[in-house]
Amino acid sequence: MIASSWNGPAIELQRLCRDFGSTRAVNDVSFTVPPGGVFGYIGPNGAGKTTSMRILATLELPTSGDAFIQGLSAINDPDRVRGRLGFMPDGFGTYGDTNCAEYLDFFARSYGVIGRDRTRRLRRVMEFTGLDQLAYKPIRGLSKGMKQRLCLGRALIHDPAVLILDEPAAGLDPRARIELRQMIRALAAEGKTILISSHILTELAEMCDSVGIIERGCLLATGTVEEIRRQLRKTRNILVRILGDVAPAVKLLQPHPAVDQLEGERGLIRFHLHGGDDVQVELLRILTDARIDVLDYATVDESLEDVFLQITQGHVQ
Amino acid sequence: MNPNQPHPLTRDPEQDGFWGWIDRASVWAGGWLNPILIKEARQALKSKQFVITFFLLLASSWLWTVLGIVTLSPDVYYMPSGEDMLQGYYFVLALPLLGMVPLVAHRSLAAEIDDGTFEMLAITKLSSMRIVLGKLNSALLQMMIYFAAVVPGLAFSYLLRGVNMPTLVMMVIVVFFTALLMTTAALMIATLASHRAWQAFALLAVLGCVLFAQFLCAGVCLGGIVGQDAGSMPESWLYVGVFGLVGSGCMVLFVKAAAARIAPVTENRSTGLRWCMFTLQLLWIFAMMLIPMHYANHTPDAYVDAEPINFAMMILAGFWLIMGALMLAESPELSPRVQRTLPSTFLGRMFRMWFNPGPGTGYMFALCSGVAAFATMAVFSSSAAFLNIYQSPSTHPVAMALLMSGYLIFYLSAVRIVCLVLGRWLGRSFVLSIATLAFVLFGSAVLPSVGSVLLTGDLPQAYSPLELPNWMWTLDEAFSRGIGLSAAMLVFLLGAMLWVLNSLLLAREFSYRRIAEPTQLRMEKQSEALV
Repeated sequence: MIASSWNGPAIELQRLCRDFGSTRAVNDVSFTVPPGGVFGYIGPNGAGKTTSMRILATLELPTSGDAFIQGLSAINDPDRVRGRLGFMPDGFGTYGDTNCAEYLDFFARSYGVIGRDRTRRLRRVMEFTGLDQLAYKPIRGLSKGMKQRLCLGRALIHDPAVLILDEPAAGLDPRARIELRQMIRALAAEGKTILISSHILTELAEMCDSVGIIERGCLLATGTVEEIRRQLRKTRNILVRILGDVAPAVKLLQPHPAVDQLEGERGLIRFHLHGGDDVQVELLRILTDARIDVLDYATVDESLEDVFLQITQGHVQ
Repeated sequence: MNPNQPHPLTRDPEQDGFWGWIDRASVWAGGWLNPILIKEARQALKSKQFVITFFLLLASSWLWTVLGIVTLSPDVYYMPSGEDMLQGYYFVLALPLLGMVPLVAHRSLAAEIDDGTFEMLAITKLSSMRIVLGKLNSALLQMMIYFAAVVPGLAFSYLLRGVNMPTLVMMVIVVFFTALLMTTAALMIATLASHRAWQAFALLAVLGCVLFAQFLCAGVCLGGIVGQDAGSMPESWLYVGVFGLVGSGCMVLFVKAAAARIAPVTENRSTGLRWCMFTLQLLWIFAMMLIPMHYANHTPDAYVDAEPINFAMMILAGFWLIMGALMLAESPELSPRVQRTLPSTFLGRMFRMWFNPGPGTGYMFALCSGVAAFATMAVFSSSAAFLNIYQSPSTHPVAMALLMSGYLIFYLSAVRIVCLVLGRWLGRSFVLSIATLAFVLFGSAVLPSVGSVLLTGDLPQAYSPLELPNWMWTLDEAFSRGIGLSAAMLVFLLGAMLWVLNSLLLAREFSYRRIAEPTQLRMEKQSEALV
């Protein structure tokens, strides 16, 4: 890993735009990822995730704007950026007639890892990705999951500080997905900065410190999942569990101006609440003052999928 | 190979003693080899194509040995038969070297781009030059292996007498050199076609080059070298040396062009190529002056024949027209990365500005280099005339220099104006530039004839100054009956007028100034320097 005195963000996109003919694939996207952070990049197909990741990986040029890895421009200093970056693309070509060990050895040499460092890195990466058992196996005989492991191994072979993973779990079976998630968690624990895109939002929510939601090239929201929820939250989902009949409670809550879309049946009442904590407390007080037996009174968090669906509109470019 | 054992690549060499030392030394040395060469060697050793080619070559070599002896018997026992045997071995060596190796190198690089493996290579620390050199090195390795299979046959020819060692060596050098030249050209062509549709044309171009090289090399080696026993003639070595020098320049140009094509667009991909073109021009001038001077010193008449120098000027004009047209396709925008390396001193700006990337600087670079070369050659010929050791050519060298300068300036300026207009709709590309050049050259060649048919109803019967735009007829006239100074001056003036029009559009590119490096980059470089 290249030693760096850089204290700023590990990844930074500055007003990035990329046009393909008349289509604007990435439109004025800016965000930062701090060192050691795991950033989830979410968006429907064709939203511009892969394009912005490829720009960061020095494979594409933006129409305008800049992308930085540890303070160095991916556009103007790609040769310096490449040493600090591991990129795992969505689709990638391999040399079918080489075996896993030869493939990783070739990339270690290509990244300038030589001598004992190379053998040590090879051992470490093959052990980490579980490829040590498949060292002699030709790449053309590998399953999709194994190829993904190999690609991750290739991205890690030079011990980069920043990892860009484009849909690493796409097309994997549940076991392979869980194993891949464990690997990514382990990498995050090692302090690597990770930018990851995925369609499996529940997994991203568990792994990521922050997320960015992109649609039609525009970044619609960034921050932690909780921050985005808060930005979106005009109403709260409240769930009340009542001992006995819900009708008196419904009768009490229904007329309140802060209550919306109220539903009550079999001891459960759900409604949307307009207002802050004070209104939520006031409603609880109304119920308890009316001697209604409240078993549970809670705010129900929206999942990342709910947030995603609320923010995006399903437009495809 | 036991799958339960750790792979040898993951183990450090731990063995003691001499073999352990050899093992450690080879691992250490392997660390410094080009990774592409290692990968390609591993792949080649496993590939059926390589194994089949090698054994086919080995079998052909043995088969020819047996067949040759049978057909040449009984003379082979008491007459020198080496030359006849060598002709067979030539084909056994030349077919894979001039045919298979360039094609394999071309496919190898084209497949990297096609299969998406190139992107994975592009994000490593390998520079584009190292990628191309890795492919070239692996082609060279293949050539050496194929050559090794034919060496016993060549040695056998020598032992049969009838062919001497210098001739044999010269033949091998020419075959190897031509194969290398073809391989570099094939690599460059591979980088030109990124789409599948173009790749078919690229492959056709390589096949064409390979066939032409086979034909040419067979003629030179069998008819010229082996047939004339050229190895024993110092003049032949002079020709091999001179054309080897120019050919080496071409090889470097092809390799640099291939590397530039696959390098990131923010990189300075032009300056190195321009230095290479400039060096190639110097080598060409040197070669074209050396040969007449050699003859001047080694013939009883002791004169300098200026006709080859006029011919050299014509070749150079064609070279700068093509190179100039290619440079017109460069982007006029300089990336911050390039701007950081621009010359900052007055002298630097004065002399090195022409090497900065951009179509305007490229246009001026081609014109200045071409005109300077024509002037140098004209001065050389004129000084030989002054010393009275000169054989007058059909066209006076000064007139030829003016004519070539005029054509170069006129056509390149016209191409630049057309490209500036068309580029607004079609975008800049080297295909557009070359197509425009071809159109302008063809158009100007047929224009006088079209005019004549329209005005008189008949094609012109004899050359007249009205045919000056027809460069083909004018050049034919220049090398047969000669062109006068006034006609050459007229072409030069026409070119100069178009240049004045073009120069008004050049100002922007010359206004670029050096910019400072970003702080983080500067700090990194400082810390690297300390380490």
